[in-house]
Amino acid sequence: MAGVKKILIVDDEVDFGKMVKLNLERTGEYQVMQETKGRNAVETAKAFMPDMIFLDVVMPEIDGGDVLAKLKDNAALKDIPVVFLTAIITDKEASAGDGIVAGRPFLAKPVTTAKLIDCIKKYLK
Amino acid sequence: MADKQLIKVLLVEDNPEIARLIRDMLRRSPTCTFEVTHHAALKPALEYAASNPIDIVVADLTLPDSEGFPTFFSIRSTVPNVPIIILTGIDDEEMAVQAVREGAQDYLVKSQIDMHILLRAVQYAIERHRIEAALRRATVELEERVNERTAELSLANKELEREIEERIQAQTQLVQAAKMEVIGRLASGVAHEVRNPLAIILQAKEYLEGLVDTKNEEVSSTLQSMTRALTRADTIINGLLDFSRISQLEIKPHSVNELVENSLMLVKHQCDRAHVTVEKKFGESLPPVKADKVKIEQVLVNLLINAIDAMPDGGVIRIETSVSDTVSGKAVCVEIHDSGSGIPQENLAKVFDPFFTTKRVKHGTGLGLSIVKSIMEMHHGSIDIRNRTEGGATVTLLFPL
Repeated sequence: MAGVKKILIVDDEVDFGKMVKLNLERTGEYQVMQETKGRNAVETAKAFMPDMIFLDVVMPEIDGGDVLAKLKDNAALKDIPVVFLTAIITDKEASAGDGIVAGRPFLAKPVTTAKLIDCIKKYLK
Repeated sequence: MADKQLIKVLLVEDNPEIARLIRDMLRRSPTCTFEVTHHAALKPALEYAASNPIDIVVADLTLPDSEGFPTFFSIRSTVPNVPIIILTGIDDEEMAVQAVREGAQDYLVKSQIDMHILLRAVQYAIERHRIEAALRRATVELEERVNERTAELSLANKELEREIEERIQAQTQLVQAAKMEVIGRLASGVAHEVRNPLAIILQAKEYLEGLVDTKNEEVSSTLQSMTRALTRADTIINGLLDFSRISQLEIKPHSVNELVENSLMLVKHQCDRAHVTVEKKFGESLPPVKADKVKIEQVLVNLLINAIDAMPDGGVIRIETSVSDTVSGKAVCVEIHDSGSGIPQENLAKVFDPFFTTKRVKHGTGLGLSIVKSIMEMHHGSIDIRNRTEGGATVTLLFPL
């Protein structure tokens, strides 16, 4: 498993996380952990220690912004790249700033596996 | 007898006996002083009447120089505002009756005249004539007042119609604004809710692509259909999101000619592919407009693509920029003319309605022009679309200065 990157996807859409996991893991280059509850995100991340996190924005109980704040508060997790993967912006808006919106990396849903991989490669160079 | 009323009588009678008789009777009136001028023929009588004040004419219709009705008509046309009493013989009473019908005040049969009848006839004739004249004046006055009042009412009515029209317009604008706000809110919510399942479908489709035989024609065509449907749904949702976010403008001064040039560059490929040529007539030294560059370029690209779509067999797009005078002041004007088939009359009023589209088969969302209009309104500008008499349509954008 050397060279396999660990990706955590935090998204309340169970099926979306499942499909992303299937598509990324099929390439043989990624190991994906799915977390559907924002409030469990930090604990799951601490246990899994991913190389990168895809984080949904609009989630029940706690939103992506608060989850990010908690991740950044944690010394062990604060340096892990986090990309917001959300339906609240359009691909056009995300692309306009070369993936950066309001100073944060964003990917717009729906997203192709190719774009997810490009994004991972960009942040895990 | 200073308090007796003075009445000037023109007596036209060729029989001197009758004339004398009438003079005598009038002279003996206890209530009035009659100043009688007598002529035995019509011509001198008319000459006198034309240049002297008279209160009444007493005339025989059978005179040496005129006979019957012509006598009466001549007198009446010379002094139309003076009452006339006809003197008649027993034989031609019928003619006298006829004269009364034509406007004479009364007639007297010569053989039956006595002083009392004569005085009463003269006084009544004058009084009746005065009342008739007053009545005519009152009628004219009434008609004038009715006309004035009608004109006033008509003006008030027009003003009322204008007010009603303004209220209807204001109400329509309010309804439209409320509709837009609701659509904006709905759009943003719906966009988020729909893009999540779309994201799952896209990922699931990609997963299945890895499991099935994509060389099989039917499988491949099915996957392509899914891709097209996903892209189409995503395009509609993106349109909705654009629609819900048009209020976020970044306003800076920009040259309209530059905005048009930038937009033309963005659609150059579509123009070439559709064999559409572009003619430019840009105004020189136009003042800058305060605009959001991205949004206005979005407006122009949208309009240019509509123009290209309107000319499937090729054609010409002519773009003119200028400064024009509008009712609310000067404005920078951009006109886009195409040589297509124009817009059917029944669609002209609906083109700015959200979700109205004639491009369903080409995957139009129907949000384009409604967004364009909203963006122009956010710039306090306006958009107008009309058909050209020579064919095709013209879109006019106005940016107030």
